Amino acid sequence: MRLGRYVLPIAGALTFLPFCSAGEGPFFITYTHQMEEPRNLEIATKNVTGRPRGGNRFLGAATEFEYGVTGWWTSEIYLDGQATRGDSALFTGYRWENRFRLLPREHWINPVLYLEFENINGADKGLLEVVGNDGNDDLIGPNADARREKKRELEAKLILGSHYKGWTFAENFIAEKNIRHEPYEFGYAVGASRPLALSARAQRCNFCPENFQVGVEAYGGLGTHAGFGLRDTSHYVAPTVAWTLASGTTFKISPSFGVTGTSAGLLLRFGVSYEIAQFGRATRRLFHNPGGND
Amino acid sequence: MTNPLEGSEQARLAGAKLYARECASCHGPDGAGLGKAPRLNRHDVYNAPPGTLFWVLRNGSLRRGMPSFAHLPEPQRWQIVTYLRSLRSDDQPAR
Repeated sequence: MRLGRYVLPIAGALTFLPFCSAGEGPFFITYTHQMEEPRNLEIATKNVTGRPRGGNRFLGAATEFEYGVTGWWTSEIYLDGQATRGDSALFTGYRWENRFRLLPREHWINPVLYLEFENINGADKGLLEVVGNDGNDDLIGPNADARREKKRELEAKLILGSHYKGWTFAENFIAEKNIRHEPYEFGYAVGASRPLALSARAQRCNFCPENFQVGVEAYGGLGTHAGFGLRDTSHYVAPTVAWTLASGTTFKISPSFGVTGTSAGLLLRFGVSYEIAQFGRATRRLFHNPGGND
Repeated sequence: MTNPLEGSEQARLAGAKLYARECASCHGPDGAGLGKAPRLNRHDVYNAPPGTLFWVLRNGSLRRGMPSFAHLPEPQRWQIVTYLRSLRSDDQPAR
Protein backbone atom coordinates (compact mmCIF):
# COMPACT_ATOMS: atom_id res chain seq x y z
CA MET A 1 0.00 0.00 0.00
CA ARG A 2 1.41 3.35 -1.08
CA LEU A 3 0.43 5.10 2.16
CA GLY A 4 2.06 2.43 4.32
CA ARG A 5 5.24 2.75 2.30
CA TYR A 6 5.67 6.31 3.54
CA VAL A 7 4.04 6.38 6.98
CA LEU A 8 6.54 4.09 8.70
CA PRO A 9 9.66 5.86 7.38
CA ILE A 10 8.21 9.23 8.42
CA ALA A 11 7.39 7.99 11.90
CA GLY A 12 10.89 6.58 12.19
CA ALA A 13 12.52 9.77 10.94
CA LEU A 14 10.55 11.90 13.38
CA THR A 15 11.99 9.94 16.26
CA PHE A 16 15.42 11.26 15.41
CA LEU A 17 14.54 14.86 14.59
CA PRO A 18 15.92 17.49 16.94
CA PHE A 19 13.48 19.20 19.24
CA CYS A 20 13.59 22.84 20.18
CA SER A 21 11.53 24.95 22.49
CA ALA A 22 8.02 25.94 21.55
CA GLY A 23 8.20 29.66 21.97
CA GLU A 24 4.78 31.22 21.72
CA GLY A 25 4.75 32.42 25.30
CA PRO A 26 2.28 31.61 28.05
CA PHE A 27 -0.90 32.76 26.31
CA PHE A 28 -3.80 30.53 25.26
CA ILE A 29 -6.00 33.08 23.49
CA THR A 30 -3.83 36.06 22.66
CA TYR A 31 -1.49 35.82 19.68
CA THR A 32 1.84 37.62 19.66
CA HIS A 33 3.70 38.62 16.50
CA GLN A 34 6.14 35.76 16.95
CA MET A 35 6.00 33.41 13.98
CA GLU A 36 6.87 29.75 13.76
CA GLU A 37 10.41 29.25 12.52
CA PRO A 38 10.57 28.17 8.87
CA ARG A 39 10.10 24.41 8.33
CA ASN A 40 9.53 23.77 12.05
CA LEU A 41 6.40 21.96 13.17
CA GLU A 42 4.87 22.64 16.55
CA ILE A 43 2.35 20.19 17.95
CA ALA A 44 0.29 21.46 20.85
CA THR A 45 -2.84 20.74 22.79
CA LYS A 46 -5.06 23.49 24.15
CA ASN A 47 -7.62 22.19 26.60
CA VAL A 48 -10.26 23.93 28.65
CA THR A 49 -12.51 22.61 31.36
CA GLY A 50 -15.30 24.29 33.27
CA ARG A 51 -18.77 23.90 34.65
CA PRO A 52 -21.16 26.45 33.19
CA ARG A 53 -24.13 27.61 35.25
CA GLY A 54 -27.04 25.30 34.52
CA GLY A 55 -24.87 22.80 32.67
CA ASN A 56 -22.50 19.91 33.20
CA ARG A 57 -18.72 19.98 33.46
CA PHE A 58 -17.05 19.76 30.06
CA LEU A 59 -13.61 19.30 28.57
CA GLY A 60 -12.90 21.05 25.29
CA ALA A 61 -9.76 19.91 23.51
CA ALA A 62 -7.99 21.35 20.48
CA THR A 63 -4.93 19.74 18.92
CA GLU A 64 -2.80 22.18 16.98
CA PHE A 65 -0.30 21.56 14.19
CA GLU A 66 1.61 24.77 13.46
CA TYR A 67 4.08 24.93 10.60
CA GLY A 68 6.45 27.69 9.60
CA VAL A 69 6.01 27.97 5.83
CA THR A 70 8.37 30.94 5.56
CA GLY A 71 9.76 33.49 7.97
CA TRP A 72 6.66 35.67 7.37
CA TRP A 73 3.95 33.02 6.95
CA THR A 74 2.79 30.51 9.56
CA SER A 75 0.00 28.02 8.88
CA GLU A 76 -1.94 25.97 11.44
CA ILE A 77 -4.53 23.24 11.54
CA TYR A 78 -6.65 22.64 14.63
CA LEU A 79 -8.71 19.53 15.30
CA ASP A 80 -11.41 20.15 17.92
CA GLY A 81 -13.40 17.87 20.17
CA GLN A 82 -15.18 17.93 23.48
CA ALA A 83 -16.62 15.70 26.19
CA THR A 84 -19.46 16.66 28.51
CA ARG A 85 -20.21 14.81 31.73
CA GLY A 86 -23.54 12.98 31.57
CA ASP A 87 -23.80 13.63 27.83
CA SER A 88 -21.31 12.52 25.17
CA ALA A 89 -17.89 13.02 23.62
CA LEU A 90 -17.54 14.07 20.01
CA PHE A 91 -15.31 15.52 17.32
CA THR A 92 -16.54 19.03 16.63
CA GLY A 93 -14.60 20.12 13.57
CA TYR A 94 -11.41 21.73 12.29
CA ARG A 95 -9.88 25.13 11.78
CA TRP A 96 -7.27 26.27 9.29
CA GLU A 97 -5.53 29.48 10.09
CA ASN A 98 -2.75 31.50 8.53
CA ARG A 99 -0.70 34.35 9.95
CA PHE A 100 1.21 36.82 7.81
CA ARG A 101 3.83 39.11 9.24
CA LEU A 102 3.39 42.47 7.52
CA LEU A 103 6.71 44.20 8.26
CA PRO A 104 10.05 42.51 7.58
CA ARG A 105 11.88 44.02 10.53
CA GLU A 106 11.24 44.41 14.21
CA HIS A 107 9.61 47.71 15.23
CA TRP A 108 8.21 49.10 18.48
CA ILE A 109 4.87 47.66 17.37
CA ASN A 110 4.58 44.81 14.87
CA PRO A 111 1.42 43.96 12.92
CA VAL A 112 0.46 40.46 11.83
CA LEU A 113 -2.62 39.63 9.74
CA TYR A 114 -4.49 36.49 10.76
CA LEU A 115 -7.02 34.74 8.50
CA GLU A 116 -8.94 31.63 9.53
CA PHE A 117 -11.57 29.31 8.13
CA GLU A 118 -13.34 27.14 10.64
CA ASN A 119 -15.74 24.32 10.00
CA ILE A 120 -17.10 23.34 13.39
CA ASN A 121 -20.48 22.61 14.87
CA GLY A 122 -22.40 24.24 17.68
CA ALA A 123 -21.19 21.70 20.22
CA ASP A 124 -17.61 22.99 19.99
CA LYS A 125 -16.32 24.02 23.43
CA GLY A 126 -12.70 24.77 22.62
CA LEU A 127 -13.30 28.47 23.34
CA LEU A 128 -10.26 29.50 21.33
CA GLU A 129 -11.75 32.95 20.97
CA VAL A 130 -14.70 34.81 22.41
CA VAL A 131 -16.63 37.04 20.00
CA GLY A 132 -19.99 38.71 19.64
CA ASN A 133 -22.32 37.73 22.47
CA ASP A 134 -20.72 34.32 23.17
CA GLY A 135 -21.35 33.28 26.75
CA ASN A 136 -22.44 30.75 29.34
CA ASP A 137 -25.64 29.81 27.49
CA ASP A 138 -23.62 28.49 24.52
CA LEU A 139 -22.15 25.79 26.78
CA ILE A 140 -25.24 24.22 28.36
CA GLY A 141 -27.27 22.72 25.51
CA PRO A 142 -27.31 18.93 24.91
CA ASN A 143 -24.62 17.83 22.46
CA ALA A 144 -27.17 16.07 20.24
CA ASP A 145 -28.94 19.40 19.63
CA ALA A 146 -25.87 21.63 19.54
CA ARG A 147 -24.01 19.52 16.97
CA ARG A 148 -26.79 20.13 14.41
CA GLU A 149 -25.74 23.76 14.14
CA LYS A 150 -23.09 24.12 11.44
CA LYS A 151 -20.58 26.91 11.89
CA ARG A 152 -18.62 27.63 8.75
CA GLU A 153 -16.96 30.87 9.63
CA LEU A 154 -14.30 33.22 8.38
CA GLU A 155 -12.32 35.06 10.96
CA ALA A 156 -9.78 37.85 10.67
CA LYS A 157 -7.54 39.25 13.35
CA LEU A 158 -5.18 42.14 13.48
CA ILE A 159 -2.39 41.09 15.82
CA LEU A 160 -0.14 43.76 17.26
CA GLY A 161 2.91 42.80 19.28
CA SER A 162 5.78 44.52 21.05
CA HIS A 163 8.78 43.58 23.16
CA TYR A 164 10.06 46.03 25.75
CA LYS A 165 12.70 45.33 28.40
CA GLY A 166 11.89 41.63 28.54
CA TRP A 167 8.12 42.14 28.49
CA THR A 168 5.91 40.97 25.65
CA PHE A 169 2.75 42.93 24.93
CA ALA A 170 0.12 41.79 22.45
CA GLU A 171 -3.24 43.13 21.29
CA ASN A 172 -5.66 41.25 19.01
CA PHE A 173 -8.72 42.71 17.29
CA ILE A 174 -11.11 40.04 15.99
CA ALA A 175 -13.86 40.04 13.35
CA GLU A 176 -15.78 36.85 12.57
CA LYS A 177 -18.52 36.05 10.07
CA ASN A 178 -20.58 32.94 9.52
CA ILE A 179 -20.47 32.54 5.74
CA ARG A 180 -24.14 31.50 5.51
CA HIS A 181 -25.90 33.92 7.78
CA GLU A 182 -25.49 35.71 11.10
CA PRO A 183 -24.00 39.18 11.53
CA TYR A 184 -20.36 40.13 11.83
CA GLU A 185 -19.12 39.47 15.36
CA PHE A 186 -16.27 41.24 17.08
CA GLY A 187 -13.94 40.48 19.94
CA TYR A 188 -10.58 41.30 21.46
CA ALA A 189 -7.71 39.73 23.36
CA VAL A 190 -4.81 41.49 25.06
CA GLY A 191 -1.90 40.11 27.05
CA ALA A 192 1.39 40.89 28.76
CA SER A 193 4.06 38.39 29.80
CA ARG A 194 7.63 38.18 30.99
CA PRO A 195 10.14 35.41 31.77
CA LEU A 196 11.13 35.16 35.44
CA ALA A 197 14.75 35.87 34.47
CA LEU A 198 16.07 37.75 31.46
CA SER A 199 19.49 36.08 31.34
CA ALA A 200 19.93 32.36 30.80
CA ARG A 201 21.87 30.20 33.22
CA ALA A 202 24.96 28.49 31.83
CA GLN A 203 23.87 24.99 32.76
CA ARG A 204 21.12 22.93 31.14
CA CYS A 205 18.26 22.85 33.63
CA ASN A 206 14.55 22.30 34.02
CA PHE A 207 13.96 24.71 36.87
CA CYS A 208 16.02 27.73 35.79
CA PRO A 209 13.96 30.91 36.22
CA GLU A 210 14.27 31.77 32.52
CA ASN A 211 12.30 28.59 31.77
CA PHE A 212 9.20 30.08 33.38
CA GLN A 213 7.07 32.76 31.75
CA VAL A 214 4.27 34.44 33.61
CA GLY A 215 1.65 36.76 32.27
CA VAL A 216 -1.95 37.80 32.20
CA GLU A 217 -4.41 37.99 29.35
CA ALA A 218 -7.87 39.45 29.02
CA TYR A 219 -10.34 38.62 26.27
CA GLY A 220 -13.98 38.97 25.43
CA GLY A 221 -16.71 39.81 22.94
CA LEU A 222 -17.61 43.19 21.55
CA GLY A 223 -21.06 42.42 20.14
CA THR A 224 -22.05 42.44 16.50
CA HIS A 225 -22.19 45.07 13.77
CA ALA A 226 -25.87 45.53 14.63
CA GLY A 227 -25.18 45.84 18.35
CA PHE A 228 -21.55 46.78 18.86
CA GLY A 229 -20.44 47.28 22.45
CA LEU A 230 -20.17 45.56 25.81
CA ARG A 231 -23.86 44.85 26.43
CA ASP A 232 -24.57 41.12 27.02
CA THR A 233 -21.00 40.18 26.26
CA SER A 234 -18.65 37.94 28.23
CA HIS A 235 -15.17 38.90 29.36
CA TYR A 236 -12.40 36.98 31.08
CA VAL A 237 -9.21 37.80 32.94
CA ALA A 238 -6.64 35.01 33.01
CA PRO A 239 -3.28 34.84 34.77
CA THR A 240 -1.10 32.34 32.96
CA VAL A 241 2.20 30.53 33.39
CA ALA A 242 4.34 28.50 30.99
CA TRP A 243 7.18 26.17 31.93
CA THR A 244 9.64 24.96 29.32
CA LEU A 245 11.74 21.90 30.11
CA ALA A 246 15.34 21.60 28.99
CA SER A 247 14.13 19.09 26.40
CA GLY A 248 11.96 21.80 24.82
CA THR A 249 8.54 20.58 25.91
CA THR A 250 6.37 23.41 27.25
CA PHE A 251 3.53 23.10 29.74
CA LYS A 252 0.99 25.88 30.21
CA ILE A 253 -1.82 26.46 32.65
CA SER A 254 -4.22 29.34 33.11
CA PRO A 255 -7.37 29.84 35.17
CA SER A 256 -9.81 32.21 33.40
CA PHE A 257 -12.16 34.22 35.55
CA GLY A 258 -15.39 35.42 33.96
CA VAL A 259 -16.07 39.00 34.98
CA THR A 260 -19.58 39.60 33.62
CA GLY A 261 -22.89 37.87 34.19
CA THR A 262 -22.83 36.51 30.64
CA SER A 263 -19.43 34.84 31.17
CA ALA A 264 -19.00 31.17 32.06
CA GLY A 265 -17.54 31.70 35.52
CA LEU A 266 -14.28 29.84 36.07
CA LEU A 267 -12.51 28.06 33.21
CA LEU A 268 -9.25 26.19 33.58
CA ARG A 269 -7.03 26.04 30.53
CA PHE A 270 -4.03 23.76 30.24
CA GLY A 271 -1.86 22.51 27.44
CA VAL A 272 1.43 21.06 26.33
CA SER A 273 3.47 21.78 23.23
CA TYR A 274 6.66 20.72 21.60
CA GLU A 275 8.36 21.73 18.43
CA ILE A 276 9.99 19.48 15.86
CA ALA A 277 12.86 21.37 14.32
CA GLN A 278 13.28 21.27 10.54
CA PHE A 279 10.34 18.93 10.05
CA GLY A 280 9.84 20.20 6.50
CA ARG A 281 13.43 19.60 5.48
CA ALA A 282 13.47 16.07 6.90
CA THR A 283 10.18 15.18 5.24
CA ARG A 284 11.32 16.55 1.88
CA ARG A 285 14.57 14.62 2.09
CA LEU A 286 12.65 11.47 2.88
CA PHE A 287 10.46 11.74 -0.22
CA HIS A 288 13.09 13.05 -2.61
CA ASN A 289 15.73 10.60 -1.53
CA PRO A 290 14.06 7.56 0.03
CA GLY A 291 17.37 5.71 0.08
CA GLY A 292 18.72 8.23 2.55
CA ASN A 293 21.83 9.04 0.49
CA ASP A 294 22.43 12.81 0.39
CA MET B 1 27.33 49.05 20.11
CA THR B 2 29.44 47.00 22.48
CA ASN B 3 28.56 43.64 23.97
CA PRO B 4 28.01 44.16 27.70
CA LEU B 5 28.87 40.48 28.24
CA GLU B 6 32.06 40.43 26.14
CA GLY B 7 34.66 38.08 27.60
CA SER B 8 32.34 36.47 30.14
CA GLU B 9 32.76 32.71 30.20
CA GLN B 10 29.39 32.28 31.92
CA ALA B 11 27.75 34.28 29.11
CA ARG B 12 29.49 32.14 26.47
CA LEU B 13 28.27 28.94 28.12
CA ALA B 14 24.74 30.29 28.44
CA GLY B 15 24.96 31.42 24.82
CA ALA B 16 25.99 27.90 23.78
CA LYS B 17 22.91 26.53 25.52
CA LEU B 18 20.65 29.08 23.83
CA TYR B 19 22.34 28.47 20.48
CA ALA B 20 21.63 24.74 20.78
CA ARG B 21 17.96 25.48 21.47
CA GLU B 22 17.30 28.33 19.06
CA CYS B 23 19.86 28.18 16.25
CA ALA B 24 21.42 24.73 15.89
CA SER B 25 18.49 23.19 14.02
CA CYS B 26 19.27 25.46 11.03
CA HIS B 27 22.92 26.40 11.42
CA GLY B 28 24.17 23.06 12.74
CA PRO B 29 25.30 22.09 16.22
CA ASP B 30 28.78 23.52 15.67
CA GLY B 31 27.84 26.42 13.37
CA ALA B 32 28.91 24.59 10.23
CA GLY B 33 25.61 25.37 8.46
CA LEU B 34 22.84 23.12 7.22
CA GLY B 35 21.02 23.33 3.89
CA LYS B 36 20.45 26.98 2.98
CA ALA B 37 21.38 28.27 6.42
CA PRO B 38 24.90 29.69 6.22
CA ARG B 39 27.94 28.67 8.24
CA LEU B 40 28.50 30.73 11.34
CA ASN B 41 31.98 29.45 12.18
CA ARG B 42 33.59 31.64 9.57
CA HIS B 43 35.88 34.63 9.43
CA ASP B 44 33.33 37.38 8.79
CA VAL B 45 31.06 36.24 11.63
CA TYR B 46 34.00 35.84 13.98
CA ASN B 47 35.15 39.37 13.17
CA ALA B 48 31.71 41.00 12.88
CA PRO B 49 30.99 43.87 15.27
CA PRO B 50 28.84 42.56 18.14
CA GLY B 51 26.19 45.18 17.37
CA THR B 52 25.79 43.76 13.85
CA LEU B 53 25.18 40.24 15.15
CA PHE B 54 22.78 41.61 17.74
CA TRP B 55 20.88 43.52 15.02
CA VAL B 56 20.53 40.38 12.88
CA LEU B 57 19.21 38.40 15.86
CA ARG B 58 16.67 41.12 16.64
CA ASN B 59 15.41 41.67 13.10
CA GLY B 60 16.12 38.41 11.34
CA SER B 61 16.25 38.31 7.57
CA LEU B 62 12.80 37.17 6.54
CA ARG B 63 13.53 37.09 2.81
CA ARG B 64 16.33 34.64 3.43
CA GLY B 65 14.31 32.55 5.86
CA MET B 66 15.89 33.78 9.09
CA PRO B 67 13.21 34.67 11.64
CA SER B 68 13.43 37.44 14.21
CA PHE B 69 14.56 36.42 17.68
CA ALA B 70 13.26 39.58 19.31
CA HIS B 71 11.15 37.42 21.61
CA LEU B 72 14.34 36.51 23.46
CA PRO B 73 15.16 39.09 26.12
CA GLU B 74 18.12 41.35 25.28
CA PRO B 75 20.53 39.67 27.74
CA GLN B 76 19.88 36.29 26.10
CA ARG B 77 20.56 37.73 22.65
CA TRP B 78 23.87 39.14 23.93
CA GLN B 79 24.68 35.70 25.37
CA ILE B 80 24.17 34.19 21.91
CA VAL B 81 26.36 36.90 20.36
CA THR B 82 29.07 36.09 22.92
CA TYR B 83 28.91 32.44 21.91
CA LEU B 84 28.88 33.20 18.16
CA ARG B 85 32.05 35.27 18.53
CA SER B 86 33.74 32.26 20.13
CA LEU B 87 33.01 29.97 17.17
CA ARG B 88 36.04 29.48 14.99
CA SER B 89 36.78 26.92 12.33
CA ASP B 90 40.20 25.40 11.92
CA ASP B 91 40.95 27.38 8.76
CA GLN B 92 40.89 30.83 10.29
CA PRO B 93 43.43 32.57 12.49
CA ALA B 94 42.66 33.66 16.04
CA ARG B 95 41.84 37.32 16.56
